[in-house]
Amino acid sequence: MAAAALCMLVPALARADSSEGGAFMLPGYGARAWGMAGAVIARVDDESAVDWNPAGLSLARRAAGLAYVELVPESFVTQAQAVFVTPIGSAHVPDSGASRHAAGAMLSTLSADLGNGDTYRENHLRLAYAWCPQPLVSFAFGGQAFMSRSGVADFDAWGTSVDMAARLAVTRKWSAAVVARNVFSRYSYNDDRDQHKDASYVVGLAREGIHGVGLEADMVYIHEGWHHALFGVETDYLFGVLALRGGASILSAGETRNSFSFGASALAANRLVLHYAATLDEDEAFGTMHRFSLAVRL
Amino acid sequence: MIAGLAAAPALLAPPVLEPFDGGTHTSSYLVEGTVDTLRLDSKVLILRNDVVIDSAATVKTKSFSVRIPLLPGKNTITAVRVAVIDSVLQVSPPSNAVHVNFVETETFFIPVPFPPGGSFDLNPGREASGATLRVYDMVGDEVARFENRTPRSYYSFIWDGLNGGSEAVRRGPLIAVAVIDYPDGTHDVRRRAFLFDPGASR
Repeated sequence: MAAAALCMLVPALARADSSEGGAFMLPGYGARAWGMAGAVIARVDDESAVDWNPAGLSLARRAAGLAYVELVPESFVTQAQAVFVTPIGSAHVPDSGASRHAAGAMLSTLSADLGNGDTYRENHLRLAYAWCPQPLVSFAFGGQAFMSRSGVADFDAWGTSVDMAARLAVTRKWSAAVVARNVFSRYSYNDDRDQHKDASYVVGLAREGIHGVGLEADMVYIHEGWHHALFGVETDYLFGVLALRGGASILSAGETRNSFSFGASALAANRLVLHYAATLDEDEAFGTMHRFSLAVRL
Repeated sequence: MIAGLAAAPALLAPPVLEPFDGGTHTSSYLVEGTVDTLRLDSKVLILRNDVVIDSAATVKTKSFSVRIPLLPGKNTITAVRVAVIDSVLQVSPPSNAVHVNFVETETFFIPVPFPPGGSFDLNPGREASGATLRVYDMVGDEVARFENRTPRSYYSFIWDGLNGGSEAVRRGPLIAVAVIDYPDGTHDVRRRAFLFDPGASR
C-alpha cells in the first residue's frame, strides 16, 4: 500500500529540469543494482552497498567484486570498479544477524576517448563505514577522494566528498532508507578554480517476501525538484541458482524520459555470483547498456 | 596571383585570418579575420584554392566573417584586400593561409575543450531531413538539446554553455548524442565524449 502511494506521487513531483554537468559524476556500482534501475537503497545487502547505501554494509557478508560497463562504446567511455566489504569484528545484532560494524572500499576508474588522441580519465576511491547499534536501524557514512587526468590543458583536478546514509527495518518485511550523497564536496582544477558536486538525496521504501519477490521504490532529488523515480523488483535465487530482476527509471531531466532495466544473476557453489544487467533507454541517450559484475563471497 | 587583378606595391596591408586547428571540417567554413584600417573604398576577397569565392566589406568594422562552401579534400583559404587608391585598383599581399580539410565521409566534430559559443559540426555523409543533438552528463541526465528540421547535408549547432534551465554548465566531461533523420525514414545515432570548459576561449 505504502509503495503504491509512493508510486502515485511520482508524476506530481516530477518536473522538467536540466543537469549542470560537472566532473566526477559516475553511475553506481554493479549489474545487480542496475538490473533494478538503481532502486536498491533499502534492500541492498551485498558488496554494492558501498556505492548505493553504506548502511547496507551491516547486512553484507565479507565479499569482493568487480564490475565493468561500456557507457558509450562509440567514444570508448568505460567504467571499471573493484570493491571489497567486510564485517568488523564478530559482534552481531540479535534477531537480524546484522554486523554491528562493517566497512567497505571501492576503486572506480572512468576513461573516455576524446578524439584527436586525447583521453580523459577519472579515478575514485570510496571508503565507507556502517554501524548497526540495534536491530532496527543502521547508520553509515562514506568518504570519497577522486582525481582526473587528461592531455587537455586545465582538466587535471582532485577533490573529496562525504556521503551519509541510514536504513530502517520498519518490520521484518518492510524497510526504508535515506542516502545523502555529496553532502560536502569540493574539487580543484590545476588552474586553482574550485567547484563542488551537486548534493543528491535518495529515499527508498522496500517490501520483501511477496512469494519470493522483493520490491522497492526510490526517489532521487538532485536539485530544484524530484529528479528521478526508480522502481525495482527482484526474485530470490530460484533453485538456489538463478535470480531475475527488472526495473524502471523515470527521469525528469529536460523532458521526462523513461528507461527500463532487466537482469539476472547466477550463483555457483554459494560463493561466486555473476550478475548481468541491460538498460534500455527510450531516448537513446546512451543506447542499450550491458553491465557485468562478478562477486566472490569470502 | 589572382586572375584579373594586377600586382601592386604594398599600399594595403594583408588581412589576417583566424587560424583553424581542427584539421577537418564539414562542408562549409566560417572565415573570420581582421584588417588593419577602415576604408570606404575597400573590401576583402576570400580565396579558396586561389580562386575568389566570396567577399566581405570592411567599411564599418575591422573584423569580417564570411561562411564559404568547401570543396571535398584540402581547401587552402586566403584573403586579399582590394581598394581603389588614386583611381587605381590596388591589391594587398595575400593573408596567412588557413588549411581546412573537408571530409565527405560521415563526421562529427567537437572542439577539445569545448568553449561557450563553440559548435558541434555534424556531417551526415548524405542529405538528411533533420538532426537533433543532445548533451548529457556522465550519468545520463540531459544538459541541453538542439534541433534542426531543415533538410541539409551538414548541421552546425552552436552552444552557449547554458543548460535547459539557462544555468551555467560546470567544467567537466559530457556526452553529445546526435540523431540524424534521413528522408527515407531511417536514422543514425552518433555519440561522442567531450570536455566542456566554461573558461575556454573560442
